[in-house]
Amino acid sequence: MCTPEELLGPLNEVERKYAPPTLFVAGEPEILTNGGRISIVGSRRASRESLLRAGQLARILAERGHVVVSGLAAGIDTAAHQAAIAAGGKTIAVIGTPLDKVHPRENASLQAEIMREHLCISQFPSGYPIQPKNFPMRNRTMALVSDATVIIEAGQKSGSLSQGWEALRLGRALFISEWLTKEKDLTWPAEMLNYGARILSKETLDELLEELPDRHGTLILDELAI
Amino acid sequence: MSLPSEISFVSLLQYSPGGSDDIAKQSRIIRDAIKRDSYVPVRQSDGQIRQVRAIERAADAVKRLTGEHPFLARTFGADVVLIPMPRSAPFRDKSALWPPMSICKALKARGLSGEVLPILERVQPVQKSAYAGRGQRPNPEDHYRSTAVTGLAELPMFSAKKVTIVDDFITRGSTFVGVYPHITEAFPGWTVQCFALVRTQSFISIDQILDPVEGTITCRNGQPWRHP
Repeated sequence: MCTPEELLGPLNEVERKYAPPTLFVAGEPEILTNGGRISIVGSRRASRESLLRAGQLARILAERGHVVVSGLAAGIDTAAHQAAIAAGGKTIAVIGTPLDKVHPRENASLQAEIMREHLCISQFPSGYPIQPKNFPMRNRTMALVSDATVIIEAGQKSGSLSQGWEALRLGRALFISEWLTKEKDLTWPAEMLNYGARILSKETLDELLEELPDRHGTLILDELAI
Repeated sequence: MSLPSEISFVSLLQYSPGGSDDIAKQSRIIRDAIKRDSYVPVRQSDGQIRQVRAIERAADAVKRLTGEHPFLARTFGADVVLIPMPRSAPFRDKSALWPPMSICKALKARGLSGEVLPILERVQPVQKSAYAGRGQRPNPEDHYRSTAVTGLAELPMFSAKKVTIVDDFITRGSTFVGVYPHITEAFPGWTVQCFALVRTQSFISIDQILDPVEGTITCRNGQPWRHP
């Protein structure tokens, strides 16, 4: 058990507003000192194309030494975690249940692997009930942990949207899969673009990478640097 | 609307987007910390390492150096109004991160401003200059059209009549040129100044991060050029 500041470093007042008081972690916290941290999130019932997109992006990021963050839900989350691991990279799961529970059940072995060899974070203590309101809270925490968020696929009422809005509030980069911006049934992509989200395509992948801080090796500043 | 052909600006720090030496790397750490209003590890004179909020640290430097640099003394002071530059997109949530506002607050807390007026608003998004390719970067006219002064009921009562627009970063200076007419119109007869905490040095190597300068932004055919 630790505070968000103990895990992530000092927070500013915008970050503190919705930061949970405590976090429960299992795995390797030193993953947080590696490369940039990018959330790849989206629908539990995603299309085959979106699952492939999530996996492809996770692989690219992992191969470049960045850490893939997701929520260990079915669909996009699972595809992102699995692809990062398969590429030899590191992944962080920010879950909506206590560490000793699994949701969905079919991700039990993936959660165990992440808790053993990667990093699993929960804001819910053991015994805390699993209820729908946990997940938007978890999404805010996932935005806090991440330097950038990518929404791969999401409907009008998707929980991923709460993470997108929180990323924008925190001043972190939010990217939306390009194809979502062309879906006539969806109004949220245009709304998020109006408030600062950007489109993720092959052409703009570098923009995403530009947003990521270099955490490989901590550089201590000289007192006179500024 | 007529955009200015030349305006002066003041800047405190510089950073190198591509350099590979230690100074360049340190400058990017400071850039990231200012962008996120976060903390940087600093080794103190006693050897201890302390986490320092980058914006606070920079505001301390402005305060410390005001006596050495007349252009800093002109730009700030207890009788100067600060206006934070809006972000590249409108706010949906008033509690959102706004580094130029944090810079203004830190400067005011050190007696370097009499009032902070967050009156300049982004009414429609523009692409972030730092990530836009050549030809896609928003030009001054885009910035002019996408911003507006809102909520200024009456002018503050400061006899010095000086207002400073405060931004976190300056690349070419498009944003300053674009918003300048809004401020001169809202503050008739006032001296309007521009301050960017950090300036990007894309084409030259830097040998120090802390490097206060006064420079100019020249605008020709709608395209601004910054010097230095």
